[in-house]
Amino acid sequence: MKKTAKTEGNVFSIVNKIEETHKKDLGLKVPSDYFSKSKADILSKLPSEEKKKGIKRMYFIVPIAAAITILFTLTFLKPNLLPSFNNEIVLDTIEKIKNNNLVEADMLTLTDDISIASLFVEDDKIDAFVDKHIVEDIIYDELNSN
Amino acid sequence: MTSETNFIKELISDKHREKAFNKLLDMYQERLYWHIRKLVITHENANDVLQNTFIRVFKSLPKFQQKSSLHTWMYRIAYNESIRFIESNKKKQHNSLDTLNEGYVNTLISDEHFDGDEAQLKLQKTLSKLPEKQRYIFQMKYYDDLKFREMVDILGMKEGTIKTAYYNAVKYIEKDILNIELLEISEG
Repeated sequence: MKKTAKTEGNVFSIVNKIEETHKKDLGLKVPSDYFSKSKADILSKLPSEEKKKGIKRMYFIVPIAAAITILFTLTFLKPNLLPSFNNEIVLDTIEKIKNNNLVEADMLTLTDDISIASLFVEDDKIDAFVDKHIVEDIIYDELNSN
Repeated sequence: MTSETNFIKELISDKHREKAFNKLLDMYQERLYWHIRKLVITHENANDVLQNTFIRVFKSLPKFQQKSSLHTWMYRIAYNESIRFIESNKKKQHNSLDTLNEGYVNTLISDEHFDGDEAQLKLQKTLSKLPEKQRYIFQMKYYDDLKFREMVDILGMKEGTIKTAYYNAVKYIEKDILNIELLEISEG
């Protein structure tokens, strides 16, 4: 069992010696032309740059497409879900608060725009109101729409 | 800047990557194949692991920090891929280490790409008796001609431990082959 392969020197001549040693000492062989076929196989399986770029582009395209879809849906199909910034409602609400004509809890039921009114009410009261009214409204709408 | 650093730059640049990777395959494909083949035994397994190794190398090159040489880094990837393959096969076959060692020679003989004569089979049988890690160390040093320093990076073991394991393996192989020959003489 004599060692023949050396690391010093040309890489390509080492490769031949390594193969020779493996065949001679260990009886291992490879199919003819294996390495050139394997090289082609490996190169064909490498992830291509175009695919990578495609994936990178998808990172931007998907959220943009989703945002456009949501805006389209809310604008044309469910316009009532969009918060309406009606100046009259805002001014009316502020005026009522100034005059102390409104207690906080009533604000949510009396005003038409919950998203604006909720700015003046504490969180726990909003939660209670949502539990009591909004959920019921959603269920009612769902039932009527079917 | 060293030629290896330049080569690595080419490997990760969009413009030169294909040509550089072709060169990398020319340089390392056969060496890594033989390194893997001794670990996973059969040609078919070695082919699978070799492909996985180069795909992993390709994906990991941009993250390669050059803390070791490209040569050592690629051997480490090949070694890790081989061990991962062996471990997953062990789980599939529910093999214990002992039965796997017994299976080493059987797997080798059943491989159509093993063409060993009596002497080669004798050496393989002796190698199969070594504890796995010791066998890997012996093969890396003796057949892949790796330096002990390189094996530290590949195996994540101390140089002293690797040297001891290697010299113990050499002693064991010499003794075992001598015993077999003496037995043959006494029987013959």
